[in-house]
Amino acid sequence: MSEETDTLQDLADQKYKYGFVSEIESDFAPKGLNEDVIRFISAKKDEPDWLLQYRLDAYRRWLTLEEPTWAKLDYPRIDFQDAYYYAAPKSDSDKPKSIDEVDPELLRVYEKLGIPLHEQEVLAGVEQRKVAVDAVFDSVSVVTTFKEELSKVGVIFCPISEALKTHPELVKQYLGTVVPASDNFYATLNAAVFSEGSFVYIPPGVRCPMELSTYFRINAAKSGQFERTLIIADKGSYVSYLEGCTAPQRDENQLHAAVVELIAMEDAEIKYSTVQNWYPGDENGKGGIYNFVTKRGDCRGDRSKISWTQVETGSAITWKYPSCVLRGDNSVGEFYSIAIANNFQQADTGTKMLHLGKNTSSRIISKGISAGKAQNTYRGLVSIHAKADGARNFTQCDSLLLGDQCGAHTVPYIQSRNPKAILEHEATTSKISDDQLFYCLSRGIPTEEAVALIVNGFCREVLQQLPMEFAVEAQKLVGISLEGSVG
Amino acid sequence: MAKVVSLDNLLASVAARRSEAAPWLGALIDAASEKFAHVGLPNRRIEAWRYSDLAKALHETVKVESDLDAPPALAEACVAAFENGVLDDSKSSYCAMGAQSLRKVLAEKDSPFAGIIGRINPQADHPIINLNTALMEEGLVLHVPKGVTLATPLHLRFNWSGVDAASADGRHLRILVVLDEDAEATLFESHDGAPSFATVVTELSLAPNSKLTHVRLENFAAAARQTAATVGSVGEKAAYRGFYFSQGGHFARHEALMKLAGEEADARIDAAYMVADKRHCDNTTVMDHAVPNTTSTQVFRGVLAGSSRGVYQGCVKVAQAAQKTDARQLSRAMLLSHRAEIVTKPELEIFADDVKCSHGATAGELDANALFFLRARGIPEAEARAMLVEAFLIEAMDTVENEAMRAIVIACAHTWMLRHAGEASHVE
Repeated sequence: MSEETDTLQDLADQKYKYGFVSEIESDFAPKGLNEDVIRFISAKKDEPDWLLQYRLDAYRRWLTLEEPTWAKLDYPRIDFQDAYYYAAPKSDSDKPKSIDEVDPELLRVYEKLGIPLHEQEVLAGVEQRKVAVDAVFDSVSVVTTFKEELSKVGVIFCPISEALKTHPELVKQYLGTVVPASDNFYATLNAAVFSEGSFVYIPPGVRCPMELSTYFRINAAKSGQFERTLIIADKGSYVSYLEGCTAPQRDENQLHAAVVELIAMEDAEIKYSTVQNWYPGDENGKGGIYNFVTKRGDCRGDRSKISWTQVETGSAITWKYPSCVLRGDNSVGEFYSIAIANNFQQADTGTKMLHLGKNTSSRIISKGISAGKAQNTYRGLVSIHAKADGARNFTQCDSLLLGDQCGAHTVPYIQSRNPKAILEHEATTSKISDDQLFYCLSRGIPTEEAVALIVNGFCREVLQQLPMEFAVEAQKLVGISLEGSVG
Repeated sequence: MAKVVSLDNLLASVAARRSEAAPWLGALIDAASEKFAHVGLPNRRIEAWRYSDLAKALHETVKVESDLDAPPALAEACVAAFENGVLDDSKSSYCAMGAQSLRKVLAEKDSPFAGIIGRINPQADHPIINLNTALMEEGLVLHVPKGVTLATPLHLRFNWSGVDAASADGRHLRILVVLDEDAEATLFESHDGAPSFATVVTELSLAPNSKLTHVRLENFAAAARQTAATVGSVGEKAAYRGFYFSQGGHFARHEALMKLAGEEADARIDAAYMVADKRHCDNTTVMDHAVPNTTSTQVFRGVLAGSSRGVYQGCVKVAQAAQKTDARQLSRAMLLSHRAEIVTKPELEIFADDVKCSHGATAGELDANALFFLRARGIPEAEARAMLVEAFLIEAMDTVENEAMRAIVIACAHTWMLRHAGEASHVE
């Protein structure tokens, strides 16, 4: 037991590896939120009138909404007037023409994060594997690489503010159709104040030639980030999108409320992967990011597929439920998740699978790991509508507890209105088995390595789903958060 | 037209009750009514009542059938017969086993049960238990002394004719069963007919080494509106064996709120529910593991036909101190119709690391291959369906140890199957 306490202490003592602050002048909107701030954001982005109206409508609606309290999360009330809603690097007004003109400070930040901004082979030895990076530094995209190669096949991959200028009709057609502005408290807030994000359009029949990737990074103090991502995969197309996040160490709680909308038309497939490693707060639960995210995919066409994979290791508060609306017949939704909560972190995460079409199927694999004094909740909904004949769902949520101060909770909602549907749900909660640990130890594997081995095995089903570029980082993250821990 | 049950009427009745209550009871009523007034009648905005909106159900008009099924008769049992929510001594024989009526206990200036009623595994924020505490009038109190094993079961027979002009605020019944150390008892609860609105709260206190077998049969008519709760505390090495059968009603909900309060306490619940037509059937459980080394098992099986709605909400709570908990939970539901609906919410809330907790939930229909197998052997479809439904449920019913009770349960299931299991799911 004492050994356990020691190693858990080590685990708790780990410093946030990516905790540094880079000093770049920011252009702020005044603190707080009102219609003027929204007009400021809109004007700053040079947006069309319909979007300003959309934002203002959302804001007025937001004023009437109440903060949701149903999640198993405990945090002080957020003062929404005590945050900045827009922050852009100074260089915004005269955008760099090439990568050489980018603020070197900014490039160094990315270098520390290990993002290859320059065009280059991503992994040595991997032939022609390329990653396009749309780097979001606070709110404004600075450099987008690989653009030309993508445009050759007709793929549009750009900041959403740019898409509003170059492809306004596409944005207008799809924005808010999956997550309406009235969806929930945080999505409504996002609709009012979103400043940046990615826009992806894959034309019919195109298989996107590379993994698309966006690194988000919250930088300016007290600036909440409100990304808006919109991905449309037209008929018969395929895209794999990666989202990864690290944020500098800070004391104030930072608010983050992103919205991600995915639309898959007939026979299209979208694979969306996330590694989230924002600042989780220190060992006393001070600071850390508050992460309230609405992610939803709409399988609009028949035989379409949307797959969510997430590795959630950061943030003080995680409130995130990537969902799939399985509208098209034979469409498929998947959700693979690893949520690691340590110290005073709280995670309430899961998914929603709404089966509307015939023969739709969904698969949910959730692995929750709690350590320190953390609380980890899986909350998920599987809903089969009356017309979804032959719908199929399989759900598995496993929780692993490291230490006796943490909590692991499972709150699944399973609803079926169709006798032809088959639903299966199973969940287990356990600690690292003494037998497994003993087996490893007796073969000379040190405790630390043995725990890492066992936990990696516990998460394997999810890690396997990540694209290779991410799998490396994710495995490292799981490893880091387990250094020195023991069962 | 009868008065609609409303918060104002209920609170007025509470005030009237309060004025004539003994001081100990008055204090209890005050605390409960204050909490109840704050929350009001539960509606779907309250998470625990999300799928069972009682406030709405009470506003709907229901039509009471004229020919109601007669309540079952259990041979060799002491009976406490409640006719329309009132204890009928002429049909009862509970005195033989030392039970007494709640009305008598409540009227006492200083009752030995004063410190027990409402204090077994207290549910301070439960709206219905608070309402029941504030308005309880009829009921039964059974105390089994140390080391005594009651050979004959106690049959709590609730029968409702459906016409209840006397009480517009509904009927609120309270049962209290206290088992001292090493005591054993068997409880058989049957609910028949159509209460216009009833709440029944059964409090069970199981001292160390005691054992209670609890068979609960809800055989309501379609118009019945009842919400019931079994609230228990299971002491060291004590065992609770529950079997619940329910057919649902216009609004039928039963909650089992069990606290495993002593080491090596064990609670096991097997349940079968068969719901048809437009009925609503809600089974809610909370297994609260408060100390180390306790075990709980729940197996719920349901069959849903017509446009019925079945709800299963099961929660397993494991406190930080409750290491070595072993908790299992299984919910299986079968939909026989395209308009039926099942909602399942199997929840785990775990604060201890050295535990084994698992839950499983499935929903589906009758196995087409099995049906084909039977049909190919010349068994008519309706009969084949009934056979498969029976095979699905019989596992739960086999857990009823008492043969007479098992026979009654199986007879109820058979009657139901004759009426509904033949309903073909594809002909809608």
